[in-house]
Parts: sequence; structure tokens; C-alpha cells
Amino acid sequence: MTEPVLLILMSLAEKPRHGYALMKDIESLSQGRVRLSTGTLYGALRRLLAEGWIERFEQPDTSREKQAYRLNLAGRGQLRLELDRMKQLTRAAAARFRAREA
Amino acid sequence: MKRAFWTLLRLYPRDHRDAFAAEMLVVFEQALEACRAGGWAVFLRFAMAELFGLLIGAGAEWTAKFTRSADRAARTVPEEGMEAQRQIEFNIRRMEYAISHHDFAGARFHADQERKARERLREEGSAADG
Repeated sequence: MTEPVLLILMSLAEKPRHGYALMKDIESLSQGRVRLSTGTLYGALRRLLAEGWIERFEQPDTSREKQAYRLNLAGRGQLRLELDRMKQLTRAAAARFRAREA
Repeated sequence: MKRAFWTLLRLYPRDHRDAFAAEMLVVFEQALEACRAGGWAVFLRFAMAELFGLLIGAGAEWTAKFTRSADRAARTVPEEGMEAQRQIEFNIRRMEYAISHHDFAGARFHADQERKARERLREEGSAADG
């Protein structure tokens, strides 16, 4: 799973968002390190829609962006698996550092 | 700047433009407004990122279009495709159950089964198109 995809899933795990809100939340999540361009964002969104991990829907009563995205059950499951994988890697890395320093 | 963005969007495949172009332009305009206050350096960095993002994105979309058409899976779904769809839904439910019970090995198994069922569904869609 690429970092942009992971960040999109993490952002949508909190609540549904439209494109610009996703862009800003991802920048905030990564503490300014990741700034997705429009092309990169929508390439990732299209792939996630094709994978069936997110859904697109129309938000009522908005002046600009009507299309928003939300995480579905499959996407939530994939996100949890990825976070679990990263937790295991982090624990393994920490154990190795401790062993090396000991 | 908006005109340049719209021109570059035309590099994308038609189906991607139909689905996302208007939305991408709105997002670009909002991002452009936000970066205007940051000065020339910020604006230049933003413009370069958007330009390269569109060029690379268009290339990736054309590559995806020719190597794997995921859109076909959403059109006609014959009997075997219906079975694949049921497998997908079943494995998603089992994956959710496994995760909620901290059975991550089981969850990974069902995630793998779900991925295989999606591939079968895409193949069914491709076969239906002939």
C-alpha cells in the first residue's frame, strides 16, 4: 500500500470528505510532509474506487464541491490490516534496536 | 493558471475526464486560492507540483486503462460473476469479524480471498466484453 493511499484511507476513516478537505487533512496528518497534487490525489481516489474500498456520493447543500468520498467496510478492513502490519514492523524494529544497544 | 490546468487535464483518458475533471478543477482552484497568500516561492512550488502531478497522473491513467480496465467489472456480471460478488461480500464480513476478534491471521486470509474474488470478477467482466 502506498503512502498516499494509506493517508487517504486514514483521513476517510474519521469522516467522509470531499477532494480539497482530503488534501488538507492529509497534509495535517503527515505534519506538512505530504502535500498531494490534484493529479496524484485523484489518481489514488480512482484506484481506491476501482478496488471497492471507498464510495463516492453527492453532498447536498454545498456551494462548491458536491462529490465526497467515504470509506466502506472493505476499505476499513484493509486499513486495519495495514495498520496492524505497520505496528508489527515497528515492534520488530524497536526490539532490534534494543538488542543492538544492550 | 486555470487555463493551463484545464489544458493539461485533456491529456487524461476520456472516461477519467468525464468522471473527475470538473471536480479536479474545483479542488485546484481552492488549493490555488490558499497558496496565493504564501508568496511567489510557495506559488511556484505549488504550480510545479500541480504540473508534474497532472503529467504523471495522465501517464498513469493511460497505463491503467490499457493494462487493467477495472470499469468492465461494474458493467455486465454473468452467473460466475455473481458468485464472485457473493464471495467478495462473504470474505469482507469474515475479515471484519476476524479483525474485531483480533484474529489478524484470519483477517489476512479473508483479505487475500477477497482480492482473488475481485480478480475473478474483473476477468468475468473482460470475458463478457469479448
